[in-house]
Amino acid sequence: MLTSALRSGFRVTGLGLVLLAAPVMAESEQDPWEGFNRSMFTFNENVDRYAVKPFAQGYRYVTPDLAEQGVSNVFDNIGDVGNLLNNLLQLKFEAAGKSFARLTFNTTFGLAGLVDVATPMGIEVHNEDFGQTLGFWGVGSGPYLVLPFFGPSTVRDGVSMPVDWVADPVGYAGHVPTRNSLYGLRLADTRSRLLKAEQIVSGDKYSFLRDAYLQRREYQINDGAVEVKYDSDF
Amino acid sequence: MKKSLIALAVAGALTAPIVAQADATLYGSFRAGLVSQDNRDLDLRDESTRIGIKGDVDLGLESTKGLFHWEANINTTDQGGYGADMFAPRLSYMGATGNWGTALIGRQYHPHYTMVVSHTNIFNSADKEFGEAFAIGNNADKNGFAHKRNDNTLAYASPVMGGFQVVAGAVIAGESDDSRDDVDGYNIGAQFTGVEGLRVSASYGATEEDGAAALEQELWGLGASYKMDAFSVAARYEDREVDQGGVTTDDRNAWELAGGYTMGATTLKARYGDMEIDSANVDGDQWGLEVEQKLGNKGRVWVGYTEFDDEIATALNVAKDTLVLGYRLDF
Repeated sequence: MLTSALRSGFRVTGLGLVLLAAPVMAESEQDPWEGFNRSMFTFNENVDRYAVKPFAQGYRYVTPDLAEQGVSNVFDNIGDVGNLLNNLLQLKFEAAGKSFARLTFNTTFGLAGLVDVATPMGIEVHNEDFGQTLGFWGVGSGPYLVLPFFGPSTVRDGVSMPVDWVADPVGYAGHVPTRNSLYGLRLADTRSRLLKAEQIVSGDKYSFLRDAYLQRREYQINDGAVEVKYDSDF
Repeated sequence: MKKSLIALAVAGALTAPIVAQADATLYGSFRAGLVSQDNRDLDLRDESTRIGIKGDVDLGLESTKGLFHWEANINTTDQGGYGADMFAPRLSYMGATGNWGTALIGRQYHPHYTMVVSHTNIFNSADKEFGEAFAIGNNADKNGFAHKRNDNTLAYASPVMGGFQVVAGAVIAGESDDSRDDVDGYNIGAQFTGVEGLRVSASYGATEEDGAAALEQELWGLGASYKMDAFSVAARYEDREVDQGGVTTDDRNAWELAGGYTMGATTLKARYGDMEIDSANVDGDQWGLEVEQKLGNKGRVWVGYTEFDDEIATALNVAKDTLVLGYRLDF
């Protein structure tokens, strides 16, 4: 799904999409390492400009839309493994059951995930990662952190990333060239899904992405129930 | 009956789902699956498609009406011929029902199936690896007499009183001479449904060597299931001993647990069981998982998987593991 791709996309490329209302400037205490973060952000921007984005544009140019969708579906299906585990860890048994059902139907009827049959069948996606799991159990996000190559994160989300890697079936592909090809394909897929989203970014790109990331993570961890504060606007 | 036939003709012409204007219902369930088993080619299989007509008849009595029911196989995938595959009879019985209970004559379910085996028989797949392997009372091909759908059965079911119901059935097959017992076998069952969501049952069935089954068999079973909101749990135990010529030829027992969790149109199911064949010194377990998705009110798809221990798989002549992708439409 696009939403999961966006979250991954933040990490991979440092670009993202705001799905909420107009961004509110994060409090300075959320970004005490802004100097370091801006350096990393610039580094990621350059990596993206000269390598990742052209790679994704080339991928998009040569790949038929149907095949692109199939690739996206395959990686979304693989992502349901992590969704299943993290929903279980958050004791969200219905969401875990639905993730398992999605995985089962998309892997079988959906031809190894190429076709997302679960969504039209009415089995909705429940995206969760280990950072959200830690947030669910009350672990604070810690300062905002821009990771080289992976983009916007927080201390909590950064530390949790290796757990997500463990839950990623691609990492268990025994044939190394196959595994690396899958990583490359996923990078192309994730970045290509964000090409349109870039147009939404306005103003100071660093601040925009930081605020978007932090708000989106809060939104995800609270399953959409976000406390809205109006007082600073009036 | 005449009305039913006319209505059937109308139904055939208009492909109407219901036998209109008669007190009969035409119904059916089409089920097919793609089956993958170890060491075997992929196979498209029928998953127990059936079609039937059932209804009741006003007998002019105050509290009693007649009833009839016919149901037969339709094979959606292998139509090599009629008989075993097409229109093989599943049910064909008639009877009467009223406030005094229900009496039925013909080919019908024995209470051992409806009251005991059905508790844990929650998977969609009809392949023997799923529904039948550990259901001892269902199997006629394991040196015993099946108490599932049986010919020549005369049965009485009491009304439900205080949550209790008793069912008794006898098989009266007949012979061209009088060399055998008149009653070839029987099956009695009792069930309690007096607590919401709970069903507890017991069954005992027997055949005599002088009957049509030509073997002395004792089969008994216990079953229980409980439904609470989205969860359901069930358990079953069966024990059977077969003697021929004074020698025990088969002695086995099996237990099974099953559970389901329903989330809207999605249901996850699991089952685990163990079978012990004392007469062959074989013991082994089976587990299975199924994911079912209802599509509207009358359609569903499912993915089922089951796996047996090697030893018991060999003894029962079933595949060690089976994966089924199934599709079902009802009308």
